[in-house]
Amino acid sequence: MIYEVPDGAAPLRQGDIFIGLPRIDLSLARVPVVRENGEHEEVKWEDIAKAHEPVSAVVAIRPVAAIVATQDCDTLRSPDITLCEIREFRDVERKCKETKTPSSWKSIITQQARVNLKWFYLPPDEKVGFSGKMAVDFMGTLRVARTDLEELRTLRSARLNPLADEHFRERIAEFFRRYPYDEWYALNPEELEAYRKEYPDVQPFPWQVLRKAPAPETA
Amino acid sequence: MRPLRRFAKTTAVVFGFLVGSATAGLDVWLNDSRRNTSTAVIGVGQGQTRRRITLLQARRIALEAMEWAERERLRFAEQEASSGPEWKDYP
Repeated sequence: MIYEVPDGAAPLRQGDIFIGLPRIDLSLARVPVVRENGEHEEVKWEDIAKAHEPVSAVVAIRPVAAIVATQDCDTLRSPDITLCEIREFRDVERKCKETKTPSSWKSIITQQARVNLKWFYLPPDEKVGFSGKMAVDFMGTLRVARTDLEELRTLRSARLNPLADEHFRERIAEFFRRYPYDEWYALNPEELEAYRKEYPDVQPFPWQVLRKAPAPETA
Repeated sequence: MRPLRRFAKTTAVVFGFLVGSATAGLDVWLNDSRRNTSTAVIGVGQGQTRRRITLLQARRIALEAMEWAERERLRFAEQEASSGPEWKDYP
């Protein structure tokens, strides 16, 4: 498919796919701290932060698939490498959880580049470790020390081929270049009314409020 | 090559050494002048909360945090799907 297998000694690059990198999830409301005497305590992170001291804690770590997001020049010397988690496509794009026909899949896969900026499609490939359709979830990042990742190149199952890599590079840049804005700001009052049927909480901007014509003066 | 599901179902709990990162600004861990010994001990009658727990409870808390995070990601994806563009609208 859209993958190639790099030489085991090849340096890290954006678009490298790893299977089995650690994802850490931690609740800042309940941190299971390990004290020096070996006892455990449940502490709020806020309290740990106030103490300005590092602590040891019990955390859950889950092995996940991930793709290198850090740019090529930084992958050579940056102390940390940023990766985006790769998840099952149906879990990232829930609109297609019931999709079955090739025609429907075709529409989703080809149109996603134009419409949805939050994920990047990765087709199945048993050699890579993807038994089903996958997606890079740009919303989910993880960080691994560069030297650790270099040591773990045995977990690098593939990298994107040049065409896919170029597309990925543009898509990830596009995702992080987005800025939040109220998309309804330019709608006219009638268009806004239609918009609010779908998003009833939306408030109009001053220029979107119809002004009533002043009543004619009476003598 | 090993299928991804195999990894997704595997969970490990380890001791992590948590060090706050402040790469863009002042590093509070390294700046001695900002260290305050009066706040170095957590939860000594200052309205702070802490609770002694067993290792098993610590492990359960860690796993619950992970499960909660996973549920939230799925919930967010569902929410996005319900409010995002319809594929049929983009022929």
